[in-house]
Amino acid sequence: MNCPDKEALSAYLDGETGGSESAALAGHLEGCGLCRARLKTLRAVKAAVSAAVQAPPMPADLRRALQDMIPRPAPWWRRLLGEGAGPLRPAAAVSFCLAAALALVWAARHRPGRSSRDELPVEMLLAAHSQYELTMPLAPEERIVADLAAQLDEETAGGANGPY
Amino acid sequence: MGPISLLLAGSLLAGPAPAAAAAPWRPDADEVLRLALDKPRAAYEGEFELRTSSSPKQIVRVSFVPPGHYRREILDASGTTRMLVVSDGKTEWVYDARRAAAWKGEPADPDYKLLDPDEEYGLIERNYGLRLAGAEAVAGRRAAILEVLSRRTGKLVRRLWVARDGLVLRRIAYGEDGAEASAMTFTRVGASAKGGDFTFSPPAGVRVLQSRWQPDYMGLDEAESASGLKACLPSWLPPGYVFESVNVVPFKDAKLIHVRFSDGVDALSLFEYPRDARLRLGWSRMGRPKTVRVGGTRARLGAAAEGKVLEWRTEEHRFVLIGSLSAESMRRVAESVQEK
Repeated sequence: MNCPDKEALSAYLDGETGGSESAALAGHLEGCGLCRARLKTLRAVKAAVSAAVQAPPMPADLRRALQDMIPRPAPWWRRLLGEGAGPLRPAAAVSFCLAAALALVWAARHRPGRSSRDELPVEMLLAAHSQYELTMPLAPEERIVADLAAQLDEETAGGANGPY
Repeated sequence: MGPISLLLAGSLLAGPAPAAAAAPWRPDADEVLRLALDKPRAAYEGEFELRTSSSPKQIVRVSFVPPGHYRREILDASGTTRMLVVSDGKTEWVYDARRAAAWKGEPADPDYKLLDPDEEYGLIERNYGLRLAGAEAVAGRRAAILEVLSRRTGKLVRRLWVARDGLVLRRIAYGEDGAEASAMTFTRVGASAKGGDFTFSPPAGVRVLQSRWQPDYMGLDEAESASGLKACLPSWLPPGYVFESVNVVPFKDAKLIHVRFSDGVDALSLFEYPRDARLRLGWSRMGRPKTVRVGGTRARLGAAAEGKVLEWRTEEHRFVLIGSLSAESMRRVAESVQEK
């Protein structure tokens, strides 16, 4: 079997190939390091893109750059002459890593609604707990009076309109 | 319901201080508890001291006129009012002079609670034992001393000094370790607060903030509808605890669900919010929490005066559990929380 093209590899990765085709591809992958590497890169790119499911479309130039990084099968004459994957391996490995890293960075940066993580003060939750506890018949109301100033601090800073 | 209105729910259990009757008063423990739980019936005014394990002593000047008129001034060391909480029965104000801010909201209305007073009393009776421990004078008034002990642990959780008219003159809450966690003691109490000022007008330049967001006591459906979240409930609770109500707590762009459980004296709170809400729990004032395991995931456990705090997350949610339980019970509750 000749080296499969990108579409065939992608279909194989997505489980969209039939039984005999899958078996043939699997057999080929066992013996072809280059295609295994291509498959690995494809898997990384797919994973990164699926992490940004709701992100805006990836820019065309970045998509092209990523696709270009996926090593293509060497021309038939090169393989015939025994100049196959061997010399390409280091470059291919670098390409795989770079492509995956680029895709991951892009995906992470383009997640919808991304913002720095806000801090939810634990004191606010403790205050809500205390306020509920104070509705109980034998509540130690002194605890919330004593901490009222701190709780108002949290509630003011926390974006709530105040005590609740 | 404002925060102070809630805390008032406890102290306003007691009525005024009419002159002690001449006949000897020999109540049993149930009667003393019932008296302490009754709603206030007459006016009073006075001063009490507050102590907690985490803050210095504070003095509070208080006056009350039924129905629902109260005024509390938290004084600083020089006797100046540091904070004011006042209600005319319809509107509650919390005024903080230092922050130049006033919060306006509705006063407490325990009638909104999902557990009615009889159910709460029943919970206390089921989960706690009562005993009288003599009598003592507090602020010049005779009081029966009522001790409340956990049936689960046998430990003393509250000691109350209750006057014949039901006014709680002194109250001590004990922590899990048996040490005094907080105490309130009247140093002066009188029978009348008539003519007291129960209104408030914010001074010029003071920020006025609304203190109400959502109803404080919701059923599950109501809370889910208000928050857009599915409430996740534990399938295991410590003996004696029951589900009481849910609240929705807004914070910036997020909404948290607050599920409350009660055993009559102690509360257990479960907070839930989506994992992708990008909220990180800030532990800054509580020191470094311990790392523990909840099921197969990493969790954090800290301790505060209000109880233990356990934080963990799942694929979809973040959870925070707060309560006065053992660490093992906290873990068991957490592990039993079922995601919908």
